[in-house]
Amino acid sequence: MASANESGAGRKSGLTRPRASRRAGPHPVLLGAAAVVAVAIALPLVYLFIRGVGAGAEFWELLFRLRTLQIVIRSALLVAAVTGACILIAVPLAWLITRTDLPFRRVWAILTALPLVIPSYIGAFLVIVALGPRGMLQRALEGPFGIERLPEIYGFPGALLTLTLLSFPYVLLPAQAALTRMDPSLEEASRSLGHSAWSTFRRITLPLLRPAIASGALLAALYTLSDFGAVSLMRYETFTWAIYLQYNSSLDRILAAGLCLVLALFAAGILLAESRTRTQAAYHRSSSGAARPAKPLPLGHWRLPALAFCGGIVLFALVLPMSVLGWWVARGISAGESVPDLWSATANSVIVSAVAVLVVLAASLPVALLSIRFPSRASALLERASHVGFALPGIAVALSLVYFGSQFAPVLYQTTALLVFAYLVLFLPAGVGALRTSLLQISPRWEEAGRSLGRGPLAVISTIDLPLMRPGLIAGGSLTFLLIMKELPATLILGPAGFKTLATSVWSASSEAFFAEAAAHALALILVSSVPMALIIVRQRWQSQ
Amino acid sequence: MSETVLSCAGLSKSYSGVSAVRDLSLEVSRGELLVILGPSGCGKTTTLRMMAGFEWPDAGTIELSGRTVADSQTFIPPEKRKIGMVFQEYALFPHLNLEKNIAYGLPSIRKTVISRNPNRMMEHLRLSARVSEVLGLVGMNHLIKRMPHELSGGEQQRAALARALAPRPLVLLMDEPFSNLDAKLREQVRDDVKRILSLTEVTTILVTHNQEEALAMADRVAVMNRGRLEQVGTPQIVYQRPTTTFVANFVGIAGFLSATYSDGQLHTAAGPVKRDSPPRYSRDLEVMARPEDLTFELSDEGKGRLISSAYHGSYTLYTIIMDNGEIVYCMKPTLESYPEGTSVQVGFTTDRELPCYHRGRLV
Repeated sequence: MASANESGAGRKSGLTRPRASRRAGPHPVLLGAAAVVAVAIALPLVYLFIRGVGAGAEFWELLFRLRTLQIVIRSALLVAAVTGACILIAVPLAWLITRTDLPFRRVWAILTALPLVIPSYIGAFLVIVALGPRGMLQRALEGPFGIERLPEIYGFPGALLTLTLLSFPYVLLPAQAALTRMDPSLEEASRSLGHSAWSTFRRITLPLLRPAIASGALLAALYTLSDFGAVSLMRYETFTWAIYLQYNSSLDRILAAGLCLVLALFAAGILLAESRTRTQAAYHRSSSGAARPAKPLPLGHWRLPALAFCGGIVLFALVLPMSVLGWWVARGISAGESVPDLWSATANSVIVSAVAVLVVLAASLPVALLSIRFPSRASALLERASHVGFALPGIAVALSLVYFGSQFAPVLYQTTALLVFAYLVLFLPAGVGALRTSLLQISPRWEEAGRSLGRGPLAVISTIDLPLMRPGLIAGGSLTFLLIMKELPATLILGPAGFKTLATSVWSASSEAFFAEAAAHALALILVSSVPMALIIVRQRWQSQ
Repeated sequence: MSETVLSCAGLSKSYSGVSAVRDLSLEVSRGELLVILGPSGCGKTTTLRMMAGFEWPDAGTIELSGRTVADSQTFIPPEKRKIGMVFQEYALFPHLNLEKNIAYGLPSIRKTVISRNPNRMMEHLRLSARVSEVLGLVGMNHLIKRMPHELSGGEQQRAALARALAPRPLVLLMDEPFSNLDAKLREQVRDDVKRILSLTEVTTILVTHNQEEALAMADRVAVMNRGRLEQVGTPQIVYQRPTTTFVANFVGIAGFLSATYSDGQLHTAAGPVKRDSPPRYSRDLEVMARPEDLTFELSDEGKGRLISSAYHGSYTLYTIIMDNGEIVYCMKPTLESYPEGTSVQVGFTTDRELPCYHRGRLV
């Protein structure tokens, strides 16, 4: 911290000791908790590194094999295509919803965010069921038209379609928020200086939106890179699927660990590229005062095409998948098919997710408090390190914990404790982000007032900070719950033998083509996930009023 | 004066090499209202926060009621200092109603009102009696269940004061307490606060950048500039005999006239001023004149010229440039108006001694 000037002052008199002991430092309990979290999140990455690089020549040979290069190219292609497609869909959609007189704007705003609830493996399963060989579309066309083959859906096209339709909300939500926050007087100034609506959009609105689009694109890119469900069902060999195949088919752990490490480097590269695109310009509102909503732009003749665009997106991303799902469930029920393990899988999912949410929030609190209330190089490093899970795909975390657990902690290996730990590493960024946001809105003056009224640092946290952070805790908790419910690769790899959650049931049933069973589990998963999603949406609506 | 409640000696604080407070020493007596006055960035808020325990002095000691709360060996955290603090933004807890805000600093007890334990009942009664006592003091008993955002600016201010007073602090610290109020309300709230403080006889240190506020409220004013104390004294002394030209300029309006000394008088462009003892220096002398110390007459041979006038209703403030380029100010009842550029003869209205400066310091 500021120990440099402290010791300087101590040296002045020559008699006084350096004052390290008198620092304004955080409470030891807080520091201890943060240290535990720091060690925990560093564990998988460090372990992967040791395993991969420690293997020496074998690892380097693997890095430069032709197959590795193919995997890199396939992954890069998919990430670039999905991210680009997401931007193309999300930016016009965000603009239509926030800035025009599009009918039912609020309804569109909610419907377009909902695809986030659908996990990628369910999306992929539904695309296969609908568009695959002998799928619903082909059979519908076979009778009247005699079409026996549709264009191949497996591979790149299927992965692109599935991942785009599920991850465009990652770009849409920040873009929408930025458009709502943007000071309308900037656009009005541009119009008053003689620029048309289109020229204003291109020269003012779009540049101002760039940071929001970039941060959303980053999320979409990382989501695509770390996705396991869609690419494995679509049999498109990117990193995650290659790693899983390697892990499952051979006992050669160095190869899998090496691929994980390359994947982590790839993700770090994306993060680095995004931080490079940030410019120095300040994007906050230039004037103080309450935000004035922008006057909606009349669409005129464009109203119908705009409606068709929004409707088409919602149809393909939400209505069709849900209908297909419903149809399969109905068919399964009418055929009297039993759905084994539905209740136990639901209970497993809910319980393990709820426990993990509590663990994530408890670990996020010291990180958020330290990074905001005691800014220093160490606390900034801790905050950045908490983002490891953001860049480290679930399959990499899971594999490193499998190796670590089987070698050093056999007591934990094959237990739900290790699974919860993996969730902690993966979803700590979501928890820290939510708590930081709500902590930033709490003035340190409130804490100081509490101290001046005779309460100690921990008492102030529990009587002032925590009650004021409650909305943030609920929002962060809901989001984390949703993410954990959907999580597949870590659950698949680390879950104890015989431990089935909704996510693993959907995946195993759909990869074995038990469509009705997969559909039932998928519907249960989506219904349970909608509860926290509804909480988030209601809260946002309530805040915006 | 009476017993010292708070004393600082040799306080210094710097932030990454930039010095905020330098070698500051100050004593405050029981029941006194001391106002620390200075321009923004002069270190006054840092000084207050070191007294409260939110900042850690690099050097120096702070004593509260004879107990050392900060020196090179000790540091007592804010919650153990028995200070009360009123923040610039009031910092009322937004999740607690007025009653709970006030009770926050009082010894906490179980929530149940009815208890078999008579001691606990007594404690509870004592607590709620104290809450309504301080609320009565600030005239807000009828608002006891309101949330902070349901209070007006003036009410929030008084609520913050009541909350700080409730635990009977040794010293009350107020950081720019009136700066968030609009001008009209400010005077009203200022009078209320002064009345409440004198009723409770609490020792108070108030920080402000508003000289009018300082003169109107303080028992003593401490003027700070660039981290140092320039002068500590009663409002009258600080206004009439500032020890530096900085204080003269910051507290009120001051004009300066170069002077030479001879025969018990200082001779200036506006005439002679009484001076009993010869000053230590004979060169670079300046006499300070407040606007009420000067008057002028129209005169074509005068040594001054009106360059601007500011109408204040019952009086008008004139700015006059002398032939030698010196600028002085003069206040006159608004009876007639004089156009700018009028040539005038400036003279003193008073025959008392006026402060005289050599290179910025009183001599």
